[in-house]
Amino acid sequence: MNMVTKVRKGAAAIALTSLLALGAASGAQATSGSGTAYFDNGQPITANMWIQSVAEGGCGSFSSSAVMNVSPNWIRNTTSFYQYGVGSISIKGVNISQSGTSNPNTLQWTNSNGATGSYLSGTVCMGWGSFYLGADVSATGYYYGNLRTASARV
Amino acid sequence: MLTAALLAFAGCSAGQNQPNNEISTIKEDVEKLRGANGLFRMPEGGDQERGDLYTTALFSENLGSYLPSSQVAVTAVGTTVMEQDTTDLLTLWSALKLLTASGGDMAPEIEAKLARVAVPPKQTEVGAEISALWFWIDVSRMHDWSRTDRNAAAGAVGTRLDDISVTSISDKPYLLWRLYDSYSALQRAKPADLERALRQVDIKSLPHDYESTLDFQAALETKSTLKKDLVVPNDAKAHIVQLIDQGLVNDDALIDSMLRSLQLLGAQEDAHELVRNRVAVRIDKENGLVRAAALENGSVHATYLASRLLDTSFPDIANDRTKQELERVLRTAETDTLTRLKALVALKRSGSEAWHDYAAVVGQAQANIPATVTADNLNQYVELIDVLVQADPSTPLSSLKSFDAQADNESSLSKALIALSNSMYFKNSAEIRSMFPAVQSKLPELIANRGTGLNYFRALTAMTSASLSGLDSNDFDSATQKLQALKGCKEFSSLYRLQTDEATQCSLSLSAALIAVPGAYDLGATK
Repeated sequence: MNMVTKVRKGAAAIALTSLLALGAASGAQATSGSGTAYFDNGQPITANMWIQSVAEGGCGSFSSSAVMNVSPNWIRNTTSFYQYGVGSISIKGVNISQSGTSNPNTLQWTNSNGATGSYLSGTVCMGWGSFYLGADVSATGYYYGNLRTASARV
Repeated sequence: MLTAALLAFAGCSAGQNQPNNEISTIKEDVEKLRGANGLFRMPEGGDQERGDLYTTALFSENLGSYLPSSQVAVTAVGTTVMEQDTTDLLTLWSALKLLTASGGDMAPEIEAKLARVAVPPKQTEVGAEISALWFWIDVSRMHDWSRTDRNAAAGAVGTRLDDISVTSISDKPYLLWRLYDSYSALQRAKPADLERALRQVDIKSLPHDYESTLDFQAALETKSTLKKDLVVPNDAKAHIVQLIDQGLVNDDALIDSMLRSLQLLGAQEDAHELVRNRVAVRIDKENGLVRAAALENGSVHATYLASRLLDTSFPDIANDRTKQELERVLRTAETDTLTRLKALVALKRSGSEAWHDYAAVVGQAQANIPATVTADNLNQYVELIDVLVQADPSTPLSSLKSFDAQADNESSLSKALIALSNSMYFKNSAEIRSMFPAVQSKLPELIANRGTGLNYFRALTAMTSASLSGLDSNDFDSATQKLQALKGCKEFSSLYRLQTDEATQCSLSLSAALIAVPGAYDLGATK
């Protein structure tokens, strides 16, 4: 899941009609990003984000993770969605029971007890008047007495 | 269709380029804790940072215009001596000294206490005997005790002075001087060999440690009192000014001795300036008294905690003075291993490459790690390994032998919580996460109710290593939410308090420990 691809600036220039055509095709383009931070002993913690390119006013799948190769005390995935435009972002079908934060656009999940990663996935829809939906993911781990955070943005 | 209007909305709900994090606030807070020696201080020492009577009395003859007013002196003496019902010689001496210097009136109750203060019991060590007697005798000198029966004891004190063998202190100018001064104050005939010994005093070295500083002053006092010749090194004034100016001396008795030496060398202006910059700045605004020098300095421990809290951002506030002082500690042979390790970690985190030069202490510490840890040596192991791993992440870990722990026994509860919280520092970490079932089943309750003890905080750091507790991310979130009620205090918004009352002190050690709790601190993306 350590994909490193260029962030695509959204569909700003695409007209609504052609977007509808794109949305109908399967295997729609996705955007992904990742970032890594390191602990003192060289162990990395990586934040990964994958989000399907979302049509204006539309919805797409997302998946994010915070991962390490060894198990820290705990590992937290904080994923926030943002958009350029108006209307409300809505998130549904998420793999966790509660959003984890008071911010409706942010999901958070902390794993521990031997876990090496924290994963979030679901569907996200942008506001009716929005033309780009993006996400920030931060992966925080507490390992060997230190707190380190990797982040990525798409 | 896109319109200009829609474009204008762009960025309204856009994410920040950098998520808001607390790093800059923590840096500001830690900066406020910077001590005079470049190291950082603990905020939780708050109560002890009052100015005190003894320190002020020590400097009373040198404070000049900074001497507390008679009103302030009377109030301070009243508080310390009467309200706290003090009867010890040193505090009473301090009270009298300050009242005398400031011209404050002595309350009858205080005069009574001073008149009654017992002569200290005979000391076996000659330096201690001279010192103890001197304070009692100095009290005689500062006030007219003829209306009391204090003077009846003077005879016995005089005899004790006579019992002191001058030969035994002939190579100690400071003791010779104090003894001489004691005789003068009692107006008692001095032994002939005392004055002879004093006439032979000369300056062997410039002040460089406790004894040499006091001996230097004694030589100058002798020159002045006995009108004898004395060879004084040319650079004496500059040397002393530099010592005080660089804040290298923590001991107020020594600083005062050096100020007196400067006076005797005719360097009144230098002395006055040093008083202004180094002593008067320590006057406590609340009670008008001088705070002890030792308090103004930071400690290795606090600096180490700051480096744990700020981690990769520590170089932003660790300056050259900080690093210098850490290196000085590392070079001091008498420093204990744990303090050296903490200094090493702080130096490493400060961004200085010099830490490699002192890394030998890591091997020494690793050699002393027990192969097996039990409930008995758990605390020591954890305290050591927590620092050691910061210095060397490849430090070999020990195993923890399981022990019985019940939730209703404070002591075994805290050990179990400490073991869980630090399970990552053991070879058998996975096994430890399933230990102490009785304690683990109580964890949900412990993290939900802010008890009065430290076990509440230990429960918070343990909750992510408790596989039997049934706690998950949602529980971590609500526990951390509750913890926020303890965040911040008057001076520091990013540190945590131990108690609910917002007027209580923040604790740096608690705050550094709480980085282990998910969400307690948001430090942003690591640099």
